[in-house]
Amino acid sequence: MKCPVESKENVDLLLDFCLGKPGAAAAKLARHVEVCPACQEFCASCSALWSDLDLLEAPPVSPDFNRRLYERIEAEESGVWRKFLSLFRLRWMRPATAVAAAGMLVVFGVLLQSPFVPENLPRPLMEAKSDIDIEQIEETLEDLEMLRTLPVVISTESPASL
Amino acid sequence: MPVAATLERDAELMLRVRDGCQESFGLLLDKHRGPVIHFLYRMVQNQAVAEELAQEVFLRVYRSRSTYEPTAKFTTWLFRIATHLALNWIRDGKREKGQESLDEGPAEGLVRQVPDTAPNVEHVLLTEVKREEIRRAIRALPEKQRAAVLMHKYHEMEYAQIAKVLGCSESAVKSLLFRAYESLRSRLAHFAR
Repeated sequence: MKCPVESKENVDLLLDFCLGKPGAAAAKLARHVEVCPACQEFCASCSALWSDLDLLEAPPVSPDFNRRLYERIEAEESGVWRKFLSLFRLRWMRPATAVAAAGMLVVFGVLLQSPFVPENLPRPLMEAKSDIDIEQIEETLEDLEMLRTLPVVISTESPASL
Repeated sequence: MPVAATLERDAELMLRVRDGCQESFGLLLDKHRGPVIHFLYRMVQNQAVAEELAQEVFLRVYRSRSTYEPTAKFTTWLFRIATHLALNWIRDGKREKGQESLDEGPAEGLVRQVPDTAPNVEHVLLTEVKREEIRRAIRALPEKQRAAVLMHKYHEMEYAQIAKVLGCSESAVKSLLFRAYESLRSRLAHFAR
């Protein structure tokens, strides 16, 4: 057989042989190595190298490795949820505000249609119809409340006094 | 065969993780964290960095759980992620050469020892010097040769599996290993036997 060290062929088989790993060509290689100084030197230095590499021990794993990993997983998963929920919350706020404003407009509209409201509306109320402002709506509602009490006052006056 | 049964077991566990079983992830973690950390330690030669990278390995495994398919051995996948992260770290480290954290433990994994008057202190120091030479020799290897040697020597991986991890052919792996061992032999030849 060709010398693996000189021909650079089947060096993996020689390496496995030197490191004591069983292989199909082990018997053939054993016979070759017995008579080949280059391969003998290769095997000897490989075995020595293998023993030297055994000196490179790795330190023990930190006892809190698992705990730190699970914390990272949890942080990542809750971070994803938080982002999702914050998006969800923002979207809810807009419709909620719109619903509240719409509700006030409905109330305002109902009050305008009310039979107790006099024909001649006060100026602030007329202006409120075109420019919706919450403070104006509140003032208008107070005015309306005041106006609602007027017919009662009028009706309590006796016909004789008129 | 026992080895094949173990490998199938890993894939089985990972499929359970895919289905939502946290306990199975714990079992995989306990089984493989040691080898992964040790591989990374020998690659980057810094225990703190090795553990940090190992955390990232398992985090990526966990993130990928919903799409996991057992198309390759679980350890092949695991070491592929680990090798990728280690190679990136090494390449990034080359750009920031010379920076070393004072907060970290002993440089390059050296075990800090307080000398005492015991008669074997010389032997201990000589062994430590030898270890440092070996670390330097491994560190001097090109990254892919380094990864191939570590997987072959310390994790007893076959050429085919190393090839899948490194994304190259089996013949390329054999060539990498031969060149790596030749380099190491020549660098460490002065350790007389």
